[in-house]
Amino acid sequence: MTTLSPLLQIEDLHVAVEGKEILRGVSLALYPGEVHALMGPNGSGKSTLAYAIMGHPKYQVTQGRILLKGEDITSATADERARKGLFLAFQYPVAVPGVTLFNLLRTAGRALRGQDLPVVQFRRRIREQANLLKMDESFLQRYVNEGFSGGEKKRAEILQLTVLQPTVAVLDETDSGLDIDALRVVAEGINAFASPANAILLITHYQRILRYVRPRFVHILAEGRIVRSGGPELAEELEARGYEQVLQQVRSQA
Amino acid sequence: MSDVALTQRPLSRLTEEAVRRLSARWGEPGWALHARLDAFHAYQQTPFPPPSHEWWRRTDVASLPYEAFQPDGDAPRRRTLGTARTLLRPGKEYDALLVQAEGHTLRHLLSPAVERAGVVVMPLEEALRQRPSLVQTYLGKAIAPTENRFTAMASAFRNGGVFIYLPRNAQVERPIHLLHILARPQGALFPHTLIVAEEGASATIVEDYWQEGEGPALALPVVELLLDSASQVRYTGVQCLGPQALFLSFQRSRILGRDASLLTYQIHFGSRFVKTVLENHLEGQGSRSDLLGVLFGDGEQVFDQVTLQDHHSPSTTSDLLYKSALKDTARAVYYGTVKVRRGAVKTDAFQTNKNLLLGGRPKADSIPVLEIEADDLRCSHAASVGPVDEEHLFYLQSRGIPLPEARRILVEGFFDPLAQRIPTPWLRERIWAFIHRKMQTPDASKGG
Ligand SMILES: Nc1ncnc2c1ncn2[C@@H]1O[C@H](COP(=O)(O)OP(=O)(O)OP(=O)(O)O)[C@@H](O)[C@H]1O
Ligand SMILES: [Mg+2]
Repeated sequence: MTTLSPLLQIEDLHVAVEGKEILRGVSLALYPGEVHALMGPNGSGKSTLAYAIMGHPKYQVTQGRILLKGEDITSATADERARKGLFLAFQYPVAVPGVTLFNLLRTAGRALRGQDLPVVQFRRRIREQANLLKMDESFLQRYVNEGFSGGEKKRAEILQLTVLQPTVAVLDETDSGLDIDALRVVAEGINAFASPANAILLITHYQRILRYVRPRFVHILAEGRIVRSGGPELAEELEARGYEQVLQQVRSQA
Repeated sequence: MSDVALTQRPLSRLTEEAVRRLSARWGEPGWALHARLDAFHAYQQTPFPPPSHEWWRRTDVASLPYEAFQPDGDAPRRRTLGTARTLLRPGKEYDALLVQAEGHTLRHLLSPAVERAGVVVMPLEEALRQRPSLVQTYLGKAIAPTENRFTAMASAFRNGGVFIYLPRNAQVERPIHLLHILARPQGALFPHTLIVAEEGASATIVEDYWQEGEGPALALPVVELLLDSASQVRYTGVQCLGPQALFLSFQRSRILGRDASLLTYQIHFGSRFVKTVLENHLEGQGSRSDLLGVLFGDGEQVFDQVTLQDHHSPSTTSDLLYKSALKDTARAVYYGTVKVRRGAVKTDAFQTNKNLLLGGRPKADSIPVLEIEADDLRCSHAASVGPVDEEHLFYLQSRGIPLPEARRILVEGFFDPLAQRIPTPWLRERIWAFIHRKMQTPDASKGG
């Protein structure tokens, strides 16, 4: 295990949004087969990290670098990063007017593989995955996220994950807004995706999903830095004690 | 020579002689000639609509060289169908077809079923001879010839047009396709379309404006629609003239009967300058009107569109969706009024205008206006002008789709809901082809 090199490596990352520094030195390494959970209070910079990893032009890396499979992607465009194997499930997926979910998956599939899978085959694959996620097939012919409920949007993100099969997936609060059954279905989708060949950064507020998707590490982000890392028990501690106490403890130790 | 051309005022081709020649060409009866001459005098005496009028202030229609175009050219040669032939390729379904080149009828076909049902689809001039009382009952009931300088001009120099009459309960299954071809250099086209739907009748009509070649030309159609109770008409106008053409159209629909429904669709890809005035009047209680519009401008094209959703009666519904994409230095003006008259309670009126600005320095103005005199109604309007949304682009890019393709997908997505509502598959295909061609043409402002 330890001889492997990380799939995703983040080194001393500083990120500014509209001139305001949000991340102040984040470092992380995700090795093949690992699931890392990232937790932290509202506004601590979790989504900022997710966007910066994916290469959103508004999120400027002012220091540090991001490596994907050993390759520096800090200045690559989002589509280049995706084609190198990166995926982001958005916390708030936007509606893309006029573009059906099927068309998106097909075009993305083609862009990622550099070639077209035969329609029949691709259609079957999408349908299988949609069924696993208990999504009605009619969603495929609807415009992406337009009029989708909160939970339906999250499911559609995971459908894209399982169909597109990236190497590194950042899942930003995919569990938020899901009912109990949906949470299990989505968690099963994530588990079905997880393999020794890929890695997942799971951003969440709740320990609940971590009962289904077992992380190897749990990190706490606060004020733009990872202030504590630990095993799954850290999530339980957070759930029991809340951020306030855990963070106070961190501060007093520092 | 050039000195002379500069100093001499160019000869007008919109003369009384031209009016008489046009009337003689179809052997019109005396009253028809007189109607033309009345319109001609109105044309001479009526000034252009003043720029102080909201509908006319944003583009300068008075300075266009209308008189340089010839309305009374000879019959075009056989090859006139030329590139228009591609619009008539086999496999294209229709129940009636009428092709005219500057008023000369080149093709005129009617399916037996439609003929049996008593449906009339006829060149207007022919209808004036064969069905004078029927035509006279309706002609000018929506648009009076003397209404403004343009309608007067069009009535005086009318050189073509169509009369469509749908008798009671007539159901025309497949589209009625009307094709107008501008065939001569410096030609002028003044077609008058009159569509009458009796109670319970239903039809889909596509009116196409096409140009052979790319020279300067003028088209100024007048379109009248009259709908009786429970009739259903879908009327689409598609304008794909050449890059130097001037296109001005006046279209007014009167939905007279109860529970009638009308879809009007305006599609514009061509012409250097386009001005359209479209009014749908909901006069019959419970009637409904959908108004759709698509345009894609590039180069130096200018589009100035005026719409009116006029609710006269209670429980009427109108729903408008107009979208434009613009690139290079193209410009679009949209001025849309929703009017709800006193007593028109339980009205639903919706209006949406969206303008997508692509590469170059295009410009769009969107002006929604509400004139509400009734209460107890639902009314909404939305307008937007702007480039492709950055967050939408990022979403697609995050799925591996390169920027140019992401842009293309979003432009297609912009039009997709409207394309789906194009009433016939062959037209839908053609519209997509035009959209793709427009997207691909290099930015003219960069000289590429
Ligand atoms: N585009 C932006 N413009 C301005 N400020 C931003 C932008 N994006 C993030 N921020 C700011 O950066 C900080 C971190 O935001 P971020 O969304 O990363 O937090 P988060 O940890 O994901 O919070 P949550 O748990 O609520 O999702 C916040 O103060 C937020 O207001
Ligand atoms: Mg967040």
